[in-house]
Amino acid sequence: MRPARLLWAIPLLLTGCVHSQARPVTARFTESGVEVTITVTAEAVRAAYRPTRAGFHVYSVDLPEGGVRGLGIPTRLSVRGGLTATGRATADKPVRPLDLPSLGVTLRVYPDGPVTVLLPVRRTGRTADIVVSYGACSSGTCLAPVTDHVTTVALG
Amino acid sequence: MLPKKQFLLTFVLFAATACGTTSAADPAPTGTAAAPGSVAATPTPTPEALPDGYDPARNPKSDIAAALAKAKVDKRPVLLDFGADWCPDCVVLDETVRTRRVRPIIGRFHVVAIDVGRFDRHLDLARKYHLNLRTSGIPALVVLTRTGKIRTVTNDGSFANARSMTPAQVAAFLKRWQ
Repeated sequence: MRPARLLWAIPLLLTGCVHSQARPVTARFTESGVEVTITVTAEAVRAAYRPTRAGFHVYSVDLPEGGVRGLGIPTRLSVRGGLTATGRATADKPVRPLDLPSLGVTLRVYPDGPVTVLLPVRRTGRTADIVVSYGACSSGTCLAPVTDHVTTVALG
Repeated sequence: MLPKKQFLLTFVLFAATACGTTSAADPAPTGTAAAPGSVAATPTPTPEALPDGYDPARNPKSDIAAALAKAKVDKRPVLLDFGADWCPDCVVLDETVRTRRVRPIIGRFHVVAIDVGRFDRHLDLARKYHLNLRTSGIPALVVLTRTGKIRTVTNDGSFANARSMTPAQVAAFLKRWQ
């Protein structure tokens, strides 16, 4: 009887594994003119930044901390708690240069509209904090920057 | 004793000089009283000095009070400029107002730059002047009369394209509210 019981348990275990990977955890918030949708899977955290008004963009994840000569708000995605980053954050859109000739500065921004940033992760616990920062600007206006907004997710 | 003709000429010249100092179109420089009989040194008012960026160390409430005190004397309006040095659009606007086209016009205002930080500083002042920074974003401008009444607030998106506005467009805005 023992081998039969074992055979019965194997599909259950497999189903459990698939189930935990196939059901991503999602969370969403809107702040300072950007709707952020966070999706957490076993391998990655995705944050989709979607400006709610036309003509707005967010800055590149490559922008240095504090911006270029103090200008701009870098987009950031990081994790802590039950998730550990295993690589760098990357975006699904190419950056475009935003030239400010009167200041002699070029900033790296994403095209107007939504952009999704992906961060490869490894799970190390049951709950995790997803930390995002960004600032949305248009061709003439900047909205309030969001700094280290924390979303806590239960990883199941 | 002067001959009669020479006396008459001297009197006419004196009268003309005296009239020049009281002409409404040619006011004395700000804050100085013209001495009786003297000629106004400059035909146009001296442009007001502009703030050097959005200095977080400044006290904007004191700056506004000082600007309104000066405005009472010289009757120039007060321009409140809400922004921050991290904001590219604010810094570009600051450059634009220093261009040859705009500088003389903004010089007719008393300008107060108010640092809003990351929208965590001096929000009470924004509220006081009916400025909704959450929707307007920065830069955002408020024009006050010399008595401190609100003439206009850029909640309507007047400066929604500040970075791409030409000096002529910025000048036109300022002329409208000066």
